[in-house]
Amino acid sequence: MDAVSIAPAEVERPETESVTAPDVPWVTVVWNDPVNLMTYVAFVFQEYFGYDRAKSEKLMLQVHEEGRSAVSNGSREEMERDVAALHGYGLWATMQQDT
Amino acid sequence: MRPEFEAADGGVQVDLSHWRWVIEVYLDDLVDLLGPVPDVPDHPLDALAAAIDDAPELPSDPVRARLLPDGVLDDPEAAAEFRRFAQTTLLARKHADAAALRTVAAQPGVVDAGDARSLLGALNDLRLMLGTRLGVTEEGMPEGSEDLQAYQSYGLFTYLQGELVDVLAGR
Repeated sequence: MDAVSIAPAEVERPETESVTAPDVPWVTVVWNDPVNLMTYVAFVFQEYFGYDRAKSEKLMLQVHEEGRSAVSNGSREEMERDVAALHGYGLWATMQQDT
Repeated sequence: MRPEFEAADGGVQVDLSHWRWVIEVYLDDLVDLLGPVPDVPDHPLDALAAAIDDAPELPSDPVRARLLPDGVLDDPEAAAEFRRFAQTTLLARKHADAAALRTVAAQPGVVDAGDARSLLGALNDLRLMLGTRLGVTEEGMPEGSEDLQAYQSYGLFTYLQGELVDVLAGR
C-alpha cells in the first residue's frame, strides 16, 4: 500500500495479498451524526474543500437526509488526507474504493 | 452582555468571560479523556519505529471512539493502517484546539481566522463528548437526563458553536 509518509506499508503487506484495482478511484464519505450542526458541516465543506455555498449545503443536506454523502474523490493518498482533515474538524468520515 | 462573537478587524472579537467556568470544567474533562499530548517524532525513522511499535485500535470508550473514529470501515487492517498515520496528528490538533479555547475563555479579545477555527473545533469536540454521553439522537436529547449540568452545557456549546459559525460564514 502506498500510504502517506510514515506508514510501514511495504514491509507489512503479505506477498500473497491481491491488490485491488489501482485505477478505481477512492471516495471520502461523510456519515450523518446527530450531534454535528448542519451549519457547521456545510461550513467545513466550504472551508476545507473550497466548495461554494450551494454545493456545500447540498452535500450537507444529503448527509442529513440520506445518512451519507460522497464528498470528494481521488487517489487513496488524497482520500487519506481528506478523511484525516475531516476527523480534525470532528466530522465522521471514512474512505472507500468507489465501486 | 455583549455578544460572544462579533466580526472584527483581523478576525473575530470573542468574549466568553460569562461562560469561562463551565468551559474550563468540560475542557478539563475533554483533555483527560484524550490522554497525554502525543510526541510528534522529529525524524521519519522515529515515526516509522513508533508506528510499528504502536498499532492503535478504535477506542473502547464510546466518547473516545467518536472523537477518534475509524477512517476505513469493514477492513480492520486498513483501519489500523490509517490510525497509525493519522491518530497522533489528530490528537495533537484536538489538544491544540482545546488549549486555544481555554486561552480565549480566560481573556476576551480578537482572534484571527485560524484561531477561530480552533475554537470551532474545540466547541465541536465538547459537543461530541457531551452529546455521546447524553445519548443525543436525530430526535434530540433524551428526556429526563440525570446530569442536568451536562444537559444544559451541551445546549450552551451548541449555541456558541452556531453563533461562531454564523460569524465566520458571514451569515
